[in-house]
Amino acid sequence: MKLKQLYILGLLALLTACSDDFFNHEPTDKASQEQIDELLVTDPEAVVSIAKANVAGIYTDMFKYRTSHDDFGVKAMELGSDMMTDDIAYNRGWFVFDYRLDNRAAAYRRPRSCWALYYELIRGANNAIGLLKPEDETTELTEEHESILGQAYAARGYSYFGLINRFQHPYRIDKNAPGIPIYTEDLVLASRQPVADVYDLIISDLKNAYKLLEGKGKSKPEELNEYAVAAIMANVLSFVTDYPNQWEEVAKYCDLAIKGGELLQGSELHNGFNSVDMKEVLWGSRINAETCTFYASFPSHIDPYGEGYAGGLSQYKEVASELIDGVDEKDERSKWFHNKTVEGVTYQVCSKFRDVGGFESDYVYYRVAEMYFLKAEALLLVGDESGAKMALEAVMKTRNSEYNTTTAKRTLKEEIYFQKRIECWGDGKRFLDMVRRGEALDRTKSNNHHATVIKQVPANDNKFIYQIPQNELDANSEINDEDQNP
Amino acid sequence: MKKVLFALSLMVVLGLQSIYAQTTSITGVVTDATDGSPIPGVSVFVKGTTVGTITMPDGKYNLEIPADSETLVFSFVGMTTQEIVIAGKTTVNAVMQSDAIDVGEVMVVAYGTAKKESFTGSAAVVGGEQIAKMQTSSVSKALEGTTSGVQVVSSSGQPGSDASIRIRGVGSINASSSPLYVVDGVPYDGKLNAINPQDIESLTVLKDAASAALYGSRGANGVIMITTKKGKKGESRVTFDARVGVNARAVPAYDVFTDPGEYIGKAWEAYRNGFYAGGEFTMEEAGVEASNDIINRLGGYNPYREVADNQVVLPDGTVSSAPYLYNDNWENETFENGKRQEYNLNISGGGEKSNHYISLGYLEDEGIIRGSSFERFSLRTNYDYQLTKHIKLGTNLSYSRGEQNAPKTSSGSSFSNPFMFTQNVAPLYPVYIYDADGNKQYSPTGEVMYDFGDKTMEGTAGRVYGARQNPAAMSAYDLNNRIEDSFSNRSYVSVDFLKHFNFTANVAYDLRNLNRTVFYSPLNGDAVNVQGRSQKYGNRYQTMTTNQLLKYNQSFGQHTISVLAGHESYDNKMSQLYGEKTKFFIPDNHEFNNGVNIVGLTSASYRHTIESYLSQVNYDFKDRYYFSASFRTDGSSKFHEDNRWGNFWSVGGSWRVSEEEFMSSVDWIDNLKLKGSYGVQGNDGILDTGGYTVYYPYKDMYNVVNNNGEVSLSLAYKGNKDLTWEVSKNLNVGVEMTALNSRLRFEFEYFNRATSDLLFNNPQPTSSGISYIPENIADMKNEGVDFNVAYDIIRNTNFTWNMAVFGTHYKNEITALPADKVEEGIVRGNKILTVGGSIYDFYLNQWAGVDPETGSALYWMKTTDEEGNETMVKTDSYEEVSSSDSRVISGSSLPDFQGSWNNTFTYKNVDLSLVTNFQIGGQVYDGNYAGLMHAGNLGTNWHTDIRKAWTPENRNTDIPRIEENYQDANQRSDRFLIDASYFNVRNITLGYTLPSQLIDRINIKSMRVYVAADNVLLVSKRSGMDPRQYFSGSNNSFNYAPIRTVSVGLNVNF
Repeated sequence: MKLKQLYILGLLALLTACSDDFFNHEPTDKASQEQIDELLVTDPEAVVSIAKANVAGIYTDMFKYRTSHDDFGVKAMELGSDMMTDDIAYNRGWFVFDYRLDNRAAAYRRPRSCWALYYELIRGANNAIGLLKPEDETTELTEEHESILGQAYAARGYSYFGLINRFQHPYRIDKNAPGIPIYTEDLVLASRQPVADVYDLIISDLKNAYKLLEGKGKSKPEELNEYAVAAIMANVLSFVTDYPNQWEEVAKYCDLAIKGGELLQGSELHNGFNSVDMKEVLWGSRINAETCTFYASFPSHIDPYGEGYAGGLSQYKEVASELIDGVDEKDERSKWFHNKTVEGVTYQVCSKFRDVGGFESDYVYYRVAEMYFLKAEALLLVGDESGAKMALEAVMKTRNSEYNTTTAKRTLKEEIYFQKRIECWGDGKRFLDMVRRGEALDRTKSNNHHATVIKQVPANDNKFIYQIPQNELDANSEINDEDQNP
Repeated sequence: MKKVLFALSLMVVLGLQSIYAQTTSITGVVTDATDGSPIPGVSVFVKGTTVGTITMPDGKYNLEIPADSETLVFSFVGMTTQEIVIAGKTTVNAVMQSDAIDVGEVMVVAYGTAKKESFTGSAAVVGGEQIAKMQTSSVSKALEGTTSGVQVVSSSGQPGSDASIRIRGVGSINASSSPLYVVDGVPYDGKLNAINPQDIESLTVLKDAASAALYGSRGANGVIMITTKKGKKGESRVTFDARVGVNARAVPAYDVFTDPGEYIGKAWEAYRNGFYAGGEFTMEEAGVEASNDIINRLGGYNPYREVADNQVVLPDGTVSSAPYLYNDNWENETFENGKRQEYNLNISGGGEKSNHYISLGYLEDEGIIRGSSFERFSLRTNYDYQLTKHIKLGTNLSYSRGEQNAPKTSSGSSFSNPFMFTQNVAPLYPVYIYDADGNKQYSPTGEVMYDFGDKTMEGTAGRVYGARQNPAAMSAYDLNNRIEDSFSNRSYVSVDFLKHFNFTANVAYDLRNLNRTVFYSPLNGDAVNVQGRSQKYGNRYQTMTTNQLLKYNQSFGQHTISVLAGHESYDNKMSQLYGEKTKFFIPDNHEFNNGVNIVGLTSASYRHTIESYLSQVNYDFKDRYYFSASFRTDGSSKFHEDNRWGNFWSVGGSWRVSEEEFMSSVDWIDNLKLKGSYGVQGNDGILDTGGYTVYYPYKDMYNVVNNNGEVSLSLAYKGNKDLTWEVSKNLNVGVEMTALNSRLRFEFEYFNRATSDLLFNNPQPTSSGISYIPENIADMKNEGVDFNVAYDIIRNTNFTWNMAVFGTHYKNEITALPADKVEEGIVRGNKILTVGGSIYDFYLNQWAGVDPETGSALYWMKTTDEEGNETMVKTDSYEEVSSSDSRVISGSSLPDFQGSWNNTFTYKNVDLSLVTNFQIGGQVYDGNYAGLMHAGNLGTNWHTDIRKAWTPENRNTDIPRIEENYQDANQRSDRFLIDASYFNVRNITLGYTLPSQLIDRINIKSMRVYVAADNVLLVSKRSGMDPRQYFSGSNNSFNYAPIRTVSVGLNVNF
């Protein structure tokens, strides 16, 4: 090659500037906002499917693995709260500090993971609401559009409800007490907002959701639907002591929720409570081999006959003996309770939850049975004793065909509360009932709580609320040390 | 070559010798300092005369000299001329040094080479032989203790793992602080363990802006330039090096309980105190409860023969003295002293038009964990060819295959990490399954059975620590295997034209393919319930770098000027495929065809591109005054197009004072140079909070996840369009001196690296649902000094002793934070960033000792007294402490001083070298120790310090009472900070070069045998704690301990 040609080549190389293509890349492991916006340009209708995917993202965020084997979404928080009650006796392993009511300090993982979980769900919901909320209220929306927007509102209301009672005492105690920050699709209130304001938002979200979802039924139990929203609403209103006709409203929403499923009967109660396709389920998470979180999962921690922590690794969550002693032997649910003896030591375990294998069980958040108990409670509180009895018997007869409230040894109120504890054992309901009703923690009624553990805590003690996590305080200039829970 | 010169010189010198009469006779031997071999053909003259001779083939000379002769001069091509005073001796031996390490040295610098004396920047050259001496698979680890200003952190001792390196402090917070690696002139993205350290000719560490700014965007954290060996003109040379050795764990485990009885006794005490604290029992009753239940509480493991469970510890605390049924030592059963062997063969040579270097290497290192190993086969050919008088081209090709077997995790707090498990498991648990008589159990196929703590062993109800795991067994059943093929090519064509011009085009292509399999056995362990789990990764990394450089170089009288202009493009692509299956049929076959359930399948690719225009001017006047300036502009794909381009530049100057007239009388100084530089460099290497590269930090990105067949989106990364280059402004001032006939070499430099617009993951309130946003906020500086001193303490013919001391002191300081964070600082875990503080300042609650009455842990709590003043009071409630936010800045992890102290001795044919390094100051938060000081986390082992825990009889102590579930006892506080100072003997090598008489006959040029020992000794404040494993000083994970290797070796030159 002649030198001259080489010079030319070299100069050309020097002058060759790279084009924009050289720099502008899109991710392939994730979807970028630009790529998503591009989809909207080519197909404006895609806004619905994108919002749908956003809402689906909230659902997956509800059960994904996060930072630790006791941090796997909503079910982890519910189990953590159940451990703080009188239902479960426990001694060692994961969740033991929840059981000891010693997992609330700002620096600990439980408050941190609980806070992060629900606010992540809220962020996802805000994103979807922002995408789908019509500019003005008269705009006609397609059925699918309504459904997704409704789910997003419901998810947000549900998430704030999950937070508010874990970081502040219930509404009844002081509705003006500092609650939690409020983020909506167009509003950021980063300081602690009054409990009442948080409830206003929750109720407004759930009402919006109900309006949008009403009449659309429950096509998929893994999605928030009108019955699930009614169930959440009933639970929410049971806290709001100054809500007009509070308990009538609770009962009304219980009835609306009850329409969403059918009570299980007899042997169906031994199906393991591991599938959202059970006819009693109003709403849950459908989990499969790909999305399950293995050892860090609810079945791992709860199933005493499974391969996970509770079974294989002997971290048995025992049933408080007062429940075992109090259940009628003709009650189908009495068969949930077993003595499991391991090398000479007997554990009083519960076979209600059985893993489908490989920790791939679905999670159940609301089911019909719970709503009967809440309805009975509500009717009793408005003085409709016969209505309350009817509601209680409706559910109890499916558990015990010979059930009759008149033969029960307890007062009607005690009976409703007691049967609900059996029915909802491990469902993550007991904690909210305790703090809402102002019940003290009394573990002395059972004999299988461990001797070293705290047994009695007054009602609505500070031990029942978490401190605001330290990392929130560190990064949020609007919440300072003096705003911290005691 | 030496022989040819010998013949020539002989003819010249012989004719001159007999002119003088009054003579005495003098003899001696001249040898080569590098390998002790005799050098024939060395000219030996009496200074100031023409009286002289040359050495014979055995290196000896014999010379008749005038009686008044004072000094002999020894000279040889390529070696430093030496003068030795005769002082009446009749035997004068000389050791010749290659002049490549003296003044006049040509060093490899950015986009070319430079003479050391003309260089205006700060660069340290480490010779290849020094690197080859270390027994590591990665050059990064060999750097430890070789030069100043370089901090080497080996977070893992796993064979085949690379170390992390920081040059002159920590330059970034959330962007990569790693230096740029440049191999044979072109940036290198591959694994350093793919480069055989034996192939390295030299390594240059570029520390300041004048030296590194030409790498603009990527040089902000310094540059390490690796140059591989080339053939030299002359006869072919064949070198063979073999070494075989044994590994051992260099840093021991923490001092933990190893006796089951002692453990059970303490566990009983904690358990009893737990019962007592429950408030239902008296202390005596609590003792009875604890005695009845302690074995059950520990999972049913009763290590005594024929002692009932409730008799193991009596209610008064007496532990049974019956013989143990079993007493396995987890450490001994998990770790073993593996072999290490390494063989290298290289052939080099060159003729008039070409030169070549070919090498083959094989390394096998078995590490210290059974089943962990690294095996590398490497091949390299470097070739240059002069095509015409003006055109030269060449190519360097290397291939390496590395195969690593490792525990699934060897860091972090996973039970599958053997380093954590073996120290944390209570010593009462057996490794193997025993029957009731204490006999090990064997499977039907004759294999010893391991206890996985999953109730398999008779009488047990599940190990309370790490059930389903057994690190001693994992190597037999599980797999974590990585096979990496690395291919690397550097090719160039260089054309000289128009007398003063040169054009060079470089093309470099690096390709790495990784295949990794992680297999969890279906027979035991974690994946039993899914009948085995196999994960497979296929990753491909490729980088194409091309550049075109135009150079101009001309001298006008005493002025020399050179100019460089160039263009470079960098294109890095990574793609990965991952799959996971469960339910395996044949228990030891990890291939997917043997498994039935797909539980994971992902793939993705990533791309990073940079385009650059670069230029440089160098000017020197009278070989005395030097000036250089460079400018480079870079565009990076990491930033939005509005913020893509960054401009980087440097200026530098140096003055060789020793060349001035006024210095001519100061003859003890050989060379004295003052230098200074200033420049600006950039960094685009932003990382996420997990430390992984972010390729598109300006974009919001969503994970696309399967939600039962539907697409679900969830925000994975919050991007920032305004993000742009992090900028590092680097000032360097220094002095270099050589004196006393090159006996003393001294360098001292002051540096100030000011980083601004730091790439920072700014924490957001969790309530926003976003954990952080990447932003250019905060400024930081690293200011300090580093020095290298080397002195030939003894320089005799038979005995030499060289001592070198390197040291670095720097101070890291945050100089600016965003306005809204100035007051409170930015808290990151147990650290805080504040203006005036350092990047690694601890922010911790303060330990206030132990309450002598109750044994409770006390902490200082911030409170406001009646007059409204903030004071600190002691409290035993950690909850109150954390709600009052009583954390205080509690020192920094950064050391005050880091240094090395190295010695080289030669005595006749024996050589000995000692490399040590040390650190003074800095703190480590010893989280591992904190975990071993729990108050009663039954099943978990204790550090033996727990013997000093508070009891009613032992009230005066700093260790709280033990009590099951007493969480406050070992909460995070400054109690667990410990001095990070250490002293480390990095390498000792002892060699013996066989006398030439012995080996001449078998046609061998030289032969050396040696013994080398790496990581010989570590002295740190607490046995088991290795402060070298972390920059940030947070010792929260048990990492693969460093390996001590002792080898014998043989090096032969043909």
